[in-house]
Amino acid sequence: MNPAIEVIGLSYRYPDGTLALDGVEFSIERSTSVALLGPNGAGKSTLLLHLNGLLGAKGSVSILGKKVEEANLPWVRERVGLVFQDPEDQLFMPSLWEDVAFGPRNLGLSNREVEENTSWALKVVGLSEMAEKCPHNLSFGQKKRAALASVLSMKPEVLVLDEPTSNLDPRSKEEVISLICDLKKKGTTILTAIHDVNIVPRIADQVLLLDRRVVELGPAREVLVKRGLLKGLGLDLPTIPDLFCTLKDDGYEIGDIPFTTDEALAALAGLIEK
Amino acid sequence: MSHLEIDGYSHLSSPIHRWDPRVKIVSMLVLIFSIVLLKSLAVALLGLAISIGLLLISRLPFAYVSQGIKWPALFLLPFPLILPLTMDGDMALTLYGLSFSVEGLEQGLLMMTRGLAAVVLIYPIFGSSPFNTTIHAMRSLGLPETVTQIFLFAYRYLFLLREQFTSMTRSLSSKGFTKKTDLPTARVLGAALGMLFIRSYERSDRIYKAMVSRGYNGHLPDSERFKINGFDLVKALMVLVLAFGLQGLDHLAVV
Amino acid sequence: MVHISDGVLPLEVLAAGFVLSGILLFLTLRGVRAEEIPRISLITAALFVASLVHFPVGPTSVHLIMNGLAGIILGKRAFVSVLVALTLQAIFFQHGGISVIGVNSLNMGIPALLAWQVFERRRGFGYPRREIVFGAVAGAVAVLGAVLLLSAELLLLGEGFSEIATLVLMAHIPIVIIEAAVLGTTAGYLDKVKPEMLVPAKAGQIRGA
Repeated sequence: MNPAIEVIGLSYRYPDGTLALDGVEFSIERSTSVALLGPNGAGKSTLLLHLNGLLGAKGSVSILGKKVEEANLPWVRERVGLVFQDPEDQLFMPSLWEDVAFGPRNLGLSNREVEENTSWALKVVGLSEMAEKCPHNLSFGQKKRAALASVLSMKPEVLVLDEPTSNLDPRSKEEVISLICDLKKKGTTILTAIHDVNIVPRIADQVLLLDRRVVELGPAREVLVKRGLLKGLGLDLPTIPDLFCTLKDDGYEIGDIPFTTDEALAALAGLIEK
Repeated sequence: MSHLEIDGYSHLSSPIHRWDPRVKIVSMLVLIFSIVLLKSLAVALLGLAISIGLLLISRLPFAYVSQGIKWPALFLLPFPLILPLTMDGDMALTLYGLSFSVEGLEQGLLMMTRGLAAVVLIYPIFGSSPFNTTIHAMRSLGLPETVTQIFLFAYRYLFLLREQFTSMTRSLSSKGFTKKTDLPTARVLGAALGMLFIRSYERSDRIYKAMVSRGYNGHLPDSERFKINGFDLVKALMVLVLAFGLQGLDHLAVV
Repeated sequence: MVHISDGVLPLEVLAAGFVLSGILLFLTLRGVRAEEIPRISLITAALFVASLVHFPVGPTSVHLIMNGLAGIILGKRAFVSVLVALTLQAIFFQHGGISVIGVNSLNMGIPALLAWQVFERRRGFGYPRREIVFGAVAGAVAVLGAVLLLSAELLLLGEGFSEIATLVLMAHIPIVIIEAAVLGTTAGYLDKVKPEMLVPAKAGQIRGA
């Protein structure tokens, strides 16, 4: 089967001449969740815009085996759901319902299907009660989830998220994380640009390190312990593996580096017993 | 500024709230035009009474309405104050060497009454449905699609931009800026506005991308489906009878 | 400030206002591209917010009008922007009125287009601060044009109205000066920070995303 996302030799220059992407190449299999990490200015958002055909550049991007080009744009946009970082940009209609219904309507679905998809998407993100509200009157956490709903209603096969948890309080963050995990379980291919490395092990199978070109693409648990590589990009290790990597460097006997609290407890118990 | 929430009471229930928005807009606009074209002061006062009556039926809180009417009343006030001094007429009163024209006073009061009646009617029309619904109703009444979209999106982002600008001026005040009647004030406000417009411009780029990624191609598929029932038409008939009745009375009164 | 209220003008003027506004709307919106729509909308919203700004004049204060700014950013698309902003003002603040939306759109929209044309003339000059100077002139022209149109309509009402028309004209002189000063700065600022906003492409179409 064709990969969900395949990028070959992608380069992009901003109108002011700055090089944002320089020969980016990678491919992502279907039903995989990938976290996109990189410092500010690494071209993460620029890369995401290419996946939906919003920017065109040198090189090629293919979605589910089809090349992203003028003739395929409607096809691509139906299958790739792109959630922008600032929900105020994403929620442009004066009521939440209309906003979530915007995509399905543009797909030319029947009124019944539009209604079904819209109420389904609102239910998934837990905002059914808010349907008639103006996006402006939602809390920031609700806006973030609403932005996700506005894309989910198109039932995309590939979901591209730009900083879905930024600026959220802990509870809202948890809500978004469990949403992403649910979608992942259902087999949606997900690519998430994210700064908060502590979330990455929970939502992603793989990690893609980007710094204008691909630095590394591999299983999350392998990439997230490469301290030198991450530090070189100005990125941190997640707190738990960071601690255990330090212990390991100090000579303690640690098998697999733990990522979750439970794994960490087990590893600590093992250390204490010794 | 609180009045950005014209539809803050659209959740109430009244015969006007339950009226189909399209039929409501058309009938009430006919009434507005009938009133602003009246020529007899007495009939115009009746028109004002009808407007207030419709406002009462709509159950919109009076305090909220009167706050909004303050400004237009102030704009209209010069007419009854100045016209008696400047208009010629047969009936003139002389007081302290100034001549007051009764016709001028009548003309000024007529303009003020017509204006106030029209302003009062804005509330039952636009305060009784979510503004969103009003825009869709205007579209199905023939407002061009592009203009409809500009209404919808401009309305959506008003609140956000107002907040942004307020926080900009707050940060200016915290740096000790106070408005005075001078060029530096104009410069600071000019730059703050420049910033507001740049942010809006850049945001419109991002919004456009978000729209296109969800299949936008410049068109907005029509969404609201309005349904007209018998009650809607009866209400319309009643308002139209009032509108044409006023014009009829006006003819009788003026001749 | 410069809006005319409901209840003042006769049928002929109201009707002419709607008909002419409709024609101008059609002419200035022809060939509008998808990417222009969010841009016009956001600038309209910003224009609305700008018109809420008070500027002190001695003990009182005046509202900014900023129709000239619409002209220099949106080119010919400024007309629809002014029309939508005025309608929103009529509904939210009862400034102006429903029956006079046509007339008020002409009063403010035509000078906005004029301001755009005035501002375009800057291209012939090499003077480094031309955006400030032409911005100021455009701001003055936009308000002055609006007030003159308004006064002319009042004069149409008959002889007794000449004093009111003069009064309206005089009352707006400080606003003309203030708008010139504010708009000059804004234009200079935009030119420095984001010059592409001031370059309406061919035939006044605004630049796309």
